[in-house]
Amino acid sequence: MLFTSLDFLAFLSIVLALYFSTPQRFRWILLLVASYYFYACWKVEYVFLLAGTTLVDYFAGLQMGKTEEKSKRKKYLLMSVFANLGVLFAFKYFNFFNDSLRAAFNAFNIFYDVPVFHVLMPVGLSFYTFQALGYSIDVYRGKKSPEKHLGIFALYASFFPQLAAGPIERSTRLLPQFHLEHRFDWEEFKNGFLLVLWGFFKKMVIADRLAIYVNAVYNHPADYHGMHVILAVIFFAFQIYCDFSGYTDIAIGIAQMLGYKLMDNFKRPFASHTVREFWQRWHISLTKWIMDYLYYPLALKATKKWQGYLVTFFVFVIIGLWHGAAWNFVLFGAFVGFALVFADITRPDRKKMTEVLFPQRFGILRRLHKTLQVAIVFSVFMFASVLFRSNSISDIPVILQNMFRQVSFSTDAIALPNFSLYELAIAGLAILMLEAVQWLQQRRPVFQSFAQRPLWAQYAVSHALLFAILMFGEFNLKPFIYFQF
Amino acid sequence: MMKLPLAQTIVFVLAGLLIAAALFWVSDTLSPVYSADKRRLKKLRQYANEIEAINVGNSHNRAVDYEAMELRGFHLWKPGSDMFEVYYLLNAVVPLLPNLKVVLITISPMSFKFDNGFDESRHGMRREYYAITPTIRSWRPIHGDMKNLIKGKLAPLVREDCWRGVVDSILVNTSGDEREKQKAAVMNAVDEYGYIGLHFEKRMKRGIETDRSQELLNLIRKSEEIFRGNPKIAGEVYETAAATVQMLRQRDIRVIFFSPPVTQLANELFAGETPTTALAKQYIQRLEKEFGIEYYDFSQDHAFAQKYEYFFNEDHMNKSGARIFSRRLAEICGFAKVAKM
Repeated sequence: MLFTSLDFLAFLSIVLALYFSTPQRFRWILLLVASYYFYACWKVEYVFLLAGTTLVDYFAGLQMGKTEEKSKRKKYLLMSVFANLGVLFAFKYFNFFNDSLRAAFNAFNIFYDVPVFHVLMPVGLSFYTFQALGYSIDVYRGKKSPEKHLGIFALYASFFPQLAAGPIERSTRLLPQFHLEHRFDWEEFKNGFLLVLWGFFKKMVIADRLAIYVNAVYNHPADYHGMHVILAVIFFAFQIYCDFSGYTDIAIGIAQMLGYKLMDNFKRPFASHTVREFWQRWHISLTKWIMDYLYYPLALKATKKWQGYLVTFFVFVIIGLWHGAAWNFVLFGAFVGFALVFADITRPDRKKMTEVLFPQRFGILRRLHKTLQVAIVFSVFMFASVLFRSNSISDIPVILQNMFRQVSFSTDAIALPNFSLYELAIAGLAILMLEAVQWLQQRRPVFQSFAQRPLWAQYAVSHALLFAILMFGEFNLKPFIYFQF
Repeated sequence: MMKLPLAQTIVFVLAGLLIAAALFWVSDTLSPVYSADKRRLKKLRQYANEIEAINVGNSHNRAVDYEAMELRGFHLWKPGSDMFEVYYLLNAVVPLLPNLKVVLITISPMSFKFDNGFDESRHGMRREYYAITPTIRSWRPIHGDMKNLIKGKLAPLVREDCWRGVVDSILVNTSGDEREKQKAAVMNAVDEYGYIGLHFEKRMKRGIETDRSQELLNLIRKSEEIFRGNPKIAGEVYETAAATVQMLRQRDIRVIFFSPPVTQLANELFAGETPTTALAKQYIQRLEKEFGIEYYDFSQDHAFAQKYEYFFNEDHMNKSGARIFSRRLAEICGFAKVAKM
């Protein structure tokens, strides 16, 4: 059940109506049933997997809470880690490693006969296993007392707005909210509603429209060159951002309408001045998770500078692999890791060069420098996105080469048979609107203070968004890109 | 406490409906979607008191020529229609026609295995039906398919062209190639009999296959796919056909099922798909037995099947073929009497 489907709109309306007419003490039951139903709509069998890992994590948490003995606590932590990562490995990574090993063995003419595991990966598996793992590690570290209420814990592991694609919430933030009373707050409801509309706008007007262009080029890279490829690469950067941040906005907005606060996942990443800053603004919940549970524990053990660089590189390869079990995702992670290490190593020299070329006392040069930084970071991301989006490793050089072949600015060189200049104009205007709203949001909390604006302004903005979605949205349902992770 | 949210929500919804109505009006005025079919429905209302017969179903209805039948009839068929759409349309438009006496419904070998609601690729056709049918009765979805009903009814707002037609009509008068526009205008023309486009004059060359052969094979395969996906489909089509007969008879309207002539080539194609043809025959016989329906099968009529000059492709009659066949059908059905009734 996709957020952008009519089924989901009906489901959400029913859940909202029932939620606010149910006494507080029973609301967790309603949300839990709704969340499991939501998940079962993809495939009923997935529910057992979710319930199974939930039970293991619940039990492990309780056992860790019963003892102060570190070795015993560690035993239960390992139980939770193996259960979660085991499921993740079996469903997401087994075939990838299996195929890679087969290819390697075949290269040396060695017989290899481990069969392929024919199973569809459960939606949102990487998200909910990381969220559950975070809980177990927090309990192990003593940051969070174990959750005693099985129902509430199951709800934490399956809360439907963020079940399929995050944000990956922390137990310390989300779990306590399920114990609080949530009275109907009209202002919060309206703020949440606007965020939901904004998410739909990003997904249906920008991401899904750009997807038509991007898919045409990326699915047949050898057939396109010049501006077609350049535009497809730029468009994919916006597509994936609007797709994922659109989902996040809808998730946060729905939770807000119900009275819950989820963490921010994006902070205008395309305005970043450094690659490091970009990763502090992009998929924040995953980056923070990785930093807290993987990077810092490893980095603290690194005594030499090169060891620190190795940790950074390794962590980003893991982030790449988290996104998908394929070599292009490994390359994507490795490239980002390399870019970060390179930026770190060259920082002193770059600083000196900047002082010479862009003296800070000249305002215009300072601004030019900042603009250049943003452009460079965006270019780095675009290059990484080619690695991310390409259908296979062999497509990557084709796309990169064809970008610079026969560049022309004629109509035929820009539009596609199934994507006219008119549609390009709609996409361009929508992107401009996106940037304008984000720029505003950076200066004042547009979405948080929406309900305090005059009533006519609230109506005008909501209706403008609603009708923009209806008039210019793409209604051929396309799943969110991050659902596959 | 709930008063304020409720009042604000009502105002929000009302304002939304008002904006939507304005946008519908703009869309329908400047560049209507499914314009030919909408014009056809407008003409239907215009001639409502005169119309004695209508023909519904799929594109085999090209074989009907009301002028040759000397009948005041009106074409309401659409290419690729299934029986569920036939019932849906009749249920919505028959009450508008006070003098309707005859309804002609085409039957093809795939009729009992076809459902446009089955897969995404044919949902557009279903939505078109929802979009063009204007009456209150048209708000009842086929098989509870609310999704396509909503999409269809919202078609003037949620336009597939992203409002390009409207923008073009405001900004420029010359969108696209002028010749293409003229060609489209001819194809979208609706005559006084509700026929969209022109009766094709083109003649098929004896025994030489056209692209239609492949299309027909694809359609047969699609119908098999639908049948595999829903083995109860034939029964459902049968029930719908029966309901159609009952609905029309309650209004004293004569229902005539017919299979118009097709070429020998098409018959050979269908013969290769015996289960499909046999199933259609079986259910038609059941309709004849249980409801005493009138059914005329010209599909293998030798007077037509070998005469390729009557067809413009394997299973569609051209203008001269339609004229000759329609006279024959009128004769068999005794339509001269209908006109005098």
